[in-house]
Amino acid sequence: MEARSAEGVPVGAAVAALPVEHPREFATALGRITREIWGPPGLPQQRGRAWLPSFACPMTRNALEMLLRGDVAASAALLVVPHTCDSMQALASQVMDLGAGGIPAVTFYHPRTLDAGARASFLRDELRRFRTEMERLLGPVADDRLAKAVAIHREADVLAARLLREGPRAGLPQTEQYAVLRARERLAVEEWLALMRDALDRRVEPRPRGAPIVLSGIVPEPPGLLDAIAASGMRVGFDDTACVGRRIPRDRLPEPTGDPMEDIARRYEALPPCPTRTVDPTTRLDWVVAGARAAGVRGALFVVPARCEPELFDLAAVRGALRTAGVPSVVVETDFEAALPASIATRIEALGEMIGARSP
Amino acid sequence: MGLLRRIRHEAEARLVGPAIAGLNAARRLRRLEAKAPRPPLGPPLRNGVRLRAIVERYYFAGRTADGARPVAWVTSGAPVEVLRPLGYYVVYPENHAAVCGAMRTARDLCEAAERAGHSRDLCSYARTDIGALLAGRTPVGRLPKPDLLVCCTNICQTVAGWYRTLARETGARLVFVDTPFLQGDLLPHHTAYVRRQVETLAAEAERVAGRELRMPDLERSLRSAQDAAFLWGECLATARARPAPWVGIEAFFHMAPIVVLRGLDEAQAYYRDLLGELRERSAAGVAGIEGERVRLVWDNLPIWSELRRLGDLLAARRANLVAATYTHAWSECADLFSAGDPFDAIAATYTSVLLNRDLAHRARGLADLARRYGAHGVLFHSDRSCKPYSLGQHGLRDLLAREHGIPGVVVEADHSDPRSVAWEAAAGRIEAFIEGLG
Amino acid sequence: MIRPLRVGVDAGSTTWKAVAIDGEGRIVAAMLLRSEPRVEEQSERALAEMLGPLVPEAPPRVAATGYGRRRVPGAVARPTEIAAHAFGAAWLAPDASLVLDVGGQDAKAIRLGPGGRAAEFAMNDRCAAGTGRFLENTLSRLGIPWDAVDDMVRGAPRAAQISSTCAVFAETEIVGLIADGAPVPDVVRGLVESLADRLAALIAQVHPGGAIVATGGVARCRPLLAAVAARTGQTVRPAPEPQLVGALGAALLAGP
Repeated sequence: MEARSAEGVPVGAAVAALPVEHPREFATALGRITREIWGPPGLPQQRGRAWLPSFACPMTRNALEMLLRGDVAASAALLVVPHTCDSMQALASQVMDLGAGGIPAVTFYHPRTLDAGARASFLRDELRRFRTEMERLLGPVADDRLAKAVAIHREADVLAARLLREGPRAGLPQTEQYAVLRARERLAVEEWLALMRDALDRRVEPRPRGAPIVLSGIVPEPPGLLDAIAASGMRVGFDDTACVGRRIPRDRLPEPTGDPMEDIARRYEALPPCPTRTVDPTTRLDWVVAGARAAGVRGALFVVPARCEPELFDLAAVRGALRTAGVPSVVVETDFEAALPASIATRIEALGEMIGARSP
Repeated sequence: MGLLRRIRHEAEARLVGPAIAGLNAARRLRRLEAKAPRPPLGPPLRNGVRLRAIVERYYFAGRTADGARPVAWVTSGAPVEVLRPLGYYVVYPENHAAVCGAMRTARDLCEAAERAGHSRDLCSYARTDIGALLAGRTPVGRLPKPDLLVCCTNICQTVAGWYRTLARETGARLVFVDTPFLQGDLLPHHTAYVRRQVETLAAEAERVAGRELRMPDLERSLRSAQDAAFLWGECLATARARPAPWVGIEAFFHMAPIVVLRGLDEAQAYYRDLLGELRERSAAGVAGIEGERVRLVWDNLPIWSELRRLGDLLAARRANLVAATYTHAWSECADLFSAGDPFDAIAATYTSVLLNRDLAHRARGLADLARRYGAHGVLFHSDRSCKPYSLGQHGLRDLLAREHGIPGVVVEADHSDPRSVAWEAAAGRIEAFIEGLG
Repeated sequence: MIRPLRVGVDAGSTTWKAVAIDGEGRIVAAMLLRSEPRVEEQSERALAEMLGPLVPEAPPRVAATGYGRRRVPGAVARPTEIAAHAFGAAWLAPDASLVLDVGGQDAKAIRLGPGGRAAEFAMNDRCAAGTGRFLENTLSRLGIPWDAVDDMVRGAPRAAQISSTCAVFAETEIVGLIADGAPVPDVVRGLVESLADRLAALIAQVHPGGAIVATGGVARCRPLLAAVAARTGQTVRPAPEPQLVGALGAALLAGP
């Protein structure tokens, strides 16, 4: 039997986290890996049916299924639930109030207001509360260790931004490049850094193949999606997915202040706009159009998880803004299938034909 | 604001609208009196006629409001008390969508939004309103253009996406009052955050209206909202009697004033009269459903397009909805309106509403409602268009059955898009559930 | 120099279609069969049968489209159904600006760009209620042949309201309507109008304007096209041989 702390959590176990963004520096400072629960694609839904209606999104369903199977409690000390949307909020409450998953949970609330002053002060208060909750369950976070964790995450942000900005590298197909970028979802930050350094050691592809496109949505799933993009003569020129591009600060990161809590807040504030965290009606449109222009894209692909409200609300406006900028787009909806359905593959090919990346 | 428009608006809102609504009301009252009894339904409420007149007057006044008064479009759970003293005409897109749902025009308006690229998986209230805005059609005649959009996230995050869209389409100034979801208790940093945003809202509302918000006026509007909420709670509490003096489904309609006229004296006056009528009925032994046999609690928004059929189904089985978490939500936080100075009170009240609280709180509330109202079971409407209300209901049902011995059934439908309602299937489940109660 | 025959195969999920064009750009052969599970075998056999009498002087250039496009042997190009329908329809109706294709398994609206290339498209294949299969199944349940629909809808005084989104729910709703005594013609008209609603919504996604040409098996249903026209405010006419448009488009894409 593995060792358990006074609170009954496995000693040294990982921290599990639901999608999408939350401050990871505290877990790192506590020497814990953060594992994100996106659920393997195509996860058979067995236990979750008794808990969720048919109209819950695939992310919520997969996460709940994994919680109910006991997979999460077996490997993690606690569950972090960022307040990504109404569905994740309901999932947090089912874990914390109804015992789903048998694991303690800590929430993190994203302040969503246009009132900059209120947002800034709440963010800092919420970070302190989050830290206190993590400490209550996992033990104290030493300031010097937190400072180290902040520094290493900062380094990771810088490398990830470079990987995204510089585009394809020799001998590293885009599928693999994404595997590197998404490794943060399950690896310790040090391991992630090592993977990114390896990737960055390769030279930048001077003439990358494929017509650049915008890839938008929550997560580049189902498996085979990126291969289908490549097979249709395209590549991702600008990433606007919630799990990759929208949580890598792309502009220059704010300089360290010497106060790790303040640095965490400033890093959060430097993140690109995302409908799971931000509410400004126009910032995201400007962000996507500017990114599309800078990458010289010819089209856009929106990969939307079925019934995902945060993503769906902005879809018409973002597509409209791209259309005005001369960028045609295609939307595919995914239920996190185990493999790429033919219907999605056909739409991707048709996008390639439409923008002349693939001869019909 | 133009003086001529102001005069025209005042004339229409104070004279023409009430006159038309009055004529309609007189006609309806005559019809009501002439109506043959429809057993097992008890005699209809007189105040039903008055309610329609109030709603008619409210929407009629809106037709000429823009340019004459500042106009705000707000979420149902927005702190409207701040806007009242500044003379705003306030549009409630959710109430408007519910009216469209009940009048069965929601489908057409949803389709207009879908044609503009909005997914059918988005909330049907949002699609109805966005569709009405884009198509320029509404069954209420005309909605005035907003000068200000106020989005309070205490009911869902859906409104954040919805109001962003409204801001893009109307160009109106958008103000958020973001209320952190309370997983557990209301904490000081929650209150501080919300308070600060309400202060910003007040400043912005003053700027748009071109006048100053006076503290005594704000206090008065809060007291008025609190009184109306208490009175509404008392109206609902009359259904604790056996038999309940009114048909519970009607409460979904009678909640309109606490939503759209909150903070105005008209709401208090209305609920005072409604309470009088209900108490009169109680004293006289008048029942909403004669021979009432089954008492049920409803959880979630109603299925607006099917309320009539639901009413018939329940009445045929001598069943009444004696309470609903949705209607009760509008009275539950009334105490908090007087917690501290006006801004703290607003922050506490609006952050503590039902849908901003965790499932443990909702489970306690449901068990309490079922106990106080002597309910035999709970109908959980699993509403495709309302994720915060619906995700978690299955667990609530199990918990209620396990720990409190209160059975429940989950029925999937939608609050306003009839295309997402399979009534036959839903009705079958409800019937089987009632039969199972014995 | 002899220009080879260009052959397009549209290997769909319910029907297999092929069209051959000669060096002068004339359609010289066409074929429509029920799809068999083995696309490879069916394609080889049927193509041999279709091309045999033509005695081609040079080996034909074959392009394949449709659900089974990857399994048609020897194809020089494998365009998507979207590209094939766009090219085929643009060739048949050069004045059209939009293609509405209602097949058995899916429905798509395609805005045509220069040279017959798709400029924008929207597709429904998740929900059966928006496809031809739903109409076909329901008609066959009610025992109504395709050619009777036209007169039936014209004679129906009103459309029965079918509000369900989902094909399964809609079927129950239809059974209920008939059981409640709704006249069959009203139900058929309601059915046609509910499909028209969904198709109009699909068309709206691609920023329409100008004439619409309809392809796919359901394009034979004139009342449906009229209902779509009424909803979109644009003229909608069926392509000649609407079921062969995809194969024709593929043939056009098989070579210069």
